[in-house]
Amino acid sequence: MNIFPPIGIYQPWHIGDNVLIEPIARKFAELFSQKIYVLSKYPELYNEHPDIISTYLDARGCHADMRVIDLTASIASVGESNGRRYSLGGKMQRMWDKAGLQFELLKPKLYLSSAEKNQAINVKHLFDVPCAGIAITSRAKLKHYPYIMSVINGMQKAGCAVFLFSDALPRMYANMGTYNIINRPLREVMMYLSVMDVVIGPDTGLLHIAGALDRSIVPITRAFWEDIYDSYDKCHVIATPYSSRYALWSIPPSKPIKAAKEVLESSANTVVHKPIKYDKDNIALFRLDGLGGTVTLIDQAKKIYDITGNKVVLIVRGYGDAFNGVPYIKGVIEVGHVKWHECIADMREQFDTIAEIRFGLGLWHQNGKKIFEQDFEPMRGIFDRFPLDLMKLEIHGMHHILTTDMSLGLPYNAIEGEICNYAPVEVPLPECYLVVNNGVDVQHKGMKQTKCWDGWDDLHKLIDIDIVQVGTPHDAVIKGAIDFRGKTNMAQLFSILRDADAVLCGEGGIMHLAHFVGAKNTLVVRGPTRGKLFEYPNQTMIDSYICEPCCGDTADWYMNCPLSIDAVCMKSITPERVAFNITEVLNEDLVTAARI
Amino acid sequence: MKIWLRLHGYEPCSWTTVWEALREAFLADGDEICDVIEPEEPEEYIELWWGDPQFWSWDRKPVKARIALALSEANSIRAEGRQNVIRNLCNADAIICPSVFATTAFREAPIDRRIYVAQFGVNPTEFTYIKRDWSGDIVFLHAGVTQFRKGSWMVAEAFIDAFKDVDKVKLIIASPRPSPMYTQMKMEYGKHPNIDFLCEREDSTRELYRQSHIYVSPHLSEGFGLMPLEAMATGMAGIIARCSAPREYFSKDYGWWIEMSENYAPISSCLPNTAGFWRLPDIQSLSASMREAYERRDELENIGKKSSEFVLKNMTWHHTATKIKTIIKEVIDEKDFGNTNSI
Repeated sequence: MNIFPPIGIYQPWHIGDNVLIEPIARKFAELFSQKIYVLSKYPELYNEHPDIISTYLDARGCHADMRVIDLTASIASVGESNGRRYSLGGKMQRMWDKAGLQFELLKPKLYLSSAEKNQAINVKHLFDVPCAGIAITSRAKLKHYPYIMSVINGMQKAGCAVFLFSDALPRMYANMGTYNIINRPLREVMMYLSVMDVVIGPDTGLLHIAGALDRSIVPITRAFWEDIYDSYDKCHVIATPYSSRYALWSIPPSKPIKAAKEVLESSANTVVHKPIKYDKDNIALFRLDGLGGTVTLIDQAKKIYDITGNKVVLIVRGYGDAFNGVPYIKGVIEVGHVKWHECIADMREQFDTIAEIRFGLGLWHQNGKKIFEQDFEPMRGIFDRFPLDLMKLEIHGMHHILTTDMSLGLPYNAIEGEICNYAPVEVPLPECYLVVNNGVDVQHKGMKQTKCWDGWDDLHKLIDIDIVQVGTPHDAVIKGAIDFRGKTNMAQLFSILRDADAVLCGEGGIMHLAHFVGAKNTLVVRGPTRGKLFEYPNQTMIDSYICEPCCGDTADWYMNCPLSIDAVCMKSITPERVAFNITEVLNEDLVTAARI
Repeated sequence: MKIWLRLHGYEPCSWTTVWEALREAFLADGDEICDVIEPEEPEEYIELWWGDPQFWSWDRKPVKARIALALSEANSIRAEGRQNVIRNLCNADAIICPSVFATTAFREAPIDRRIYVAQFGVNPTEFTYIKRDWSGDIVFLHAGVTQFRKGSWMVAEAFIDAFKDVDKVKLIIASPRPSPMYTQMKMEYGKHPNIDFLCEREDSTRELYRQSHIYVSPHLSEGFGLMPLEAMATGMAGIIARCSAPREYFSKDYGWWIEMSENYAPISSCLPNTAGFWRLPDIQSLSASMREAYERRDELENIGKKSSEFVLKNMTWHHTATKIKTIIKEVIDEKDFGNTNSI
């Protein structure tokens, strides 16, 4: 047991600064032989980090005895005196001083999960030319580089595949033949950055992330801020000695282009990506979906394995970690946010036997030996109209995993398979707890969907059990809940769900996970997605009594109530009713335990 | 008066309840009633159809007058059988509805017939005032087919919001048949110590009222709402949604209103393919009223007495029959001036 209290580093600023404090956290971890908390706006940045437990800023109170080092003041890049703002240099020294540590020039390190690494490898495999990443804007206008357009052209002329990274894509960059990574989740951006052979751009978080992921970087900045790049070994800073607002205008685009070309030509930077190649005769399952839909592939993989004896390759958008350790899965290809039709066309060339799975239906593409019999014509209409008309499958009275199985010629009497990837959670959990999740998929960034329920904040007053909230940092905080949003990796999330006394969620990813981890009790609050299609056995459904399920009635049913009545179905479910159901489920457990 | 009282089917349900009650009331008034069998001299009879107009079939022989007794529970005529409904109502000399609310759909349809209102009533010998013990558990009753239109799901949710297990209260949800909502609710709340589910078709609901103190109706729409009226006649206080037909006979003197919310739900859940929305009663208002009624139990007996007095004095089937006959007379008088619809 560690005799030192937990140590937290409080860092309320932007991504680049978060990267820069990583060596400080690492140093503390070494000195005190314990993991260090980083309280930041971007906790997901440190996923997979062996020495850091990242939490959201408001989690300061998660350990009463935590010693928090507040780096707020020391990180500032701009000072103010007599009403005039001026640029501050020496940030690295100030940060280390504030932390009470002797300054060391340690390179920041960030980590990808194995699934993210696989995904990166697969992306890289798509390009047989060097990949150049360009950060087109900076959060601070002062740091904008005005000749980004020329840099893009220059790198394209140099034969690079150019990737643009930004929150938004200004119109002038829209048709330049670039690959645009715009407004994507941070982890996905990290995956893409890790693929780049060189990353060019103004002084911004993206450059720091790339550097911390061991990529070559060409930051364009002012000389007095140059020190913050000192610790990166594969770095060529293009700096201007001027400090005025328009200082960066003095740097011609030829300079960063030249530096980037030199980087690419340098053999020291050559990174050999070894894409995982699967034999063409592997059976593949293709489903580009959110977390919930993705994890349902476990069922089909198991059934295919049971029938053929062959392990299956999965082609998914992401969440590859969910399948770690699953014995009937050979590998996972994560393709990210590609276009469905392009991707399936590509994958059909890579696999002779591939099932294209959409909601509730799967279509076999079998080029070689025909393994599975399928008469798909009766289902073709609904399949082609996806995502419309989903509820027409309700006629089968089965879960959509089973309708998929049925369409693929697999056994469809029961949902099979399980998640095998578990890891302990760093922060101790209550002995008994209810897991709640009020959010939607990470790619929707906390979007309020028609299937979302509003009564979460009242629950803690109505039930007598600790509440643990899981989800993404974009989900709204639930009152009275212990906040685990964005603070777990996939394996830890699975453990939390498996060990919970009950899980309460809307119809969505967590519901699927709860089934595949074998959660003891799962309660699902449902409105637009009622019906057998969305109903796992042994889960308790708290269904709205109002309106008819409308999932698939319109293409955007999940965003806009198809009847324009503000998703009254979900509004009509009271917290009291939900609390009653939770209590009933937990009481039932007590009765069962007493009987045993 | 000679009345040929017709109904499209005799499977026991609320249609037959009204038909039987009216038949009894006419007979008690000394009227000559022909029912299932066609009269030998139809031209001497008033052909009075009751029930769902889509299934009616007016007799081809001349009758004295054709009277339609019908209701709509929504502001539009339901999609199913719409053309039949309109044709049958157009072929009547007059239309009688049991509430002003129930006339709305017909008034807005292409039906150029006079529409009258004759409120339904209760059987005063069956639903007499019942003396209850008000000192023990207060029993809330929600009866009738457990369904969306009656807002049945709200009763249980409001009940668990309003009361703790230790409160001396009980809720009875009684449905004459196991509707899908009844089954779902029973599954969900069946183990609640203070909620009872009853699913029996009784010849008389009097026994159900006798066990209970407060009638709860968070309906979204009622063409009339016989059960709240019967409950009132037996001396029960009411907690009634401030919408549709019950607004025409219930008031706060007889209990509590459930105020309406700003939320709407599509009618199609109840009447398939029928356009329109019903406004939802406010569940918080229902819950608050249940609590208030429980806490003001001393006043409940008096409220019940007032309710009973009002109903038995003004709203019995005798009153209904009398009103219908007055309307029929008026129609016949008008017919003498040239209406040939029933010839």
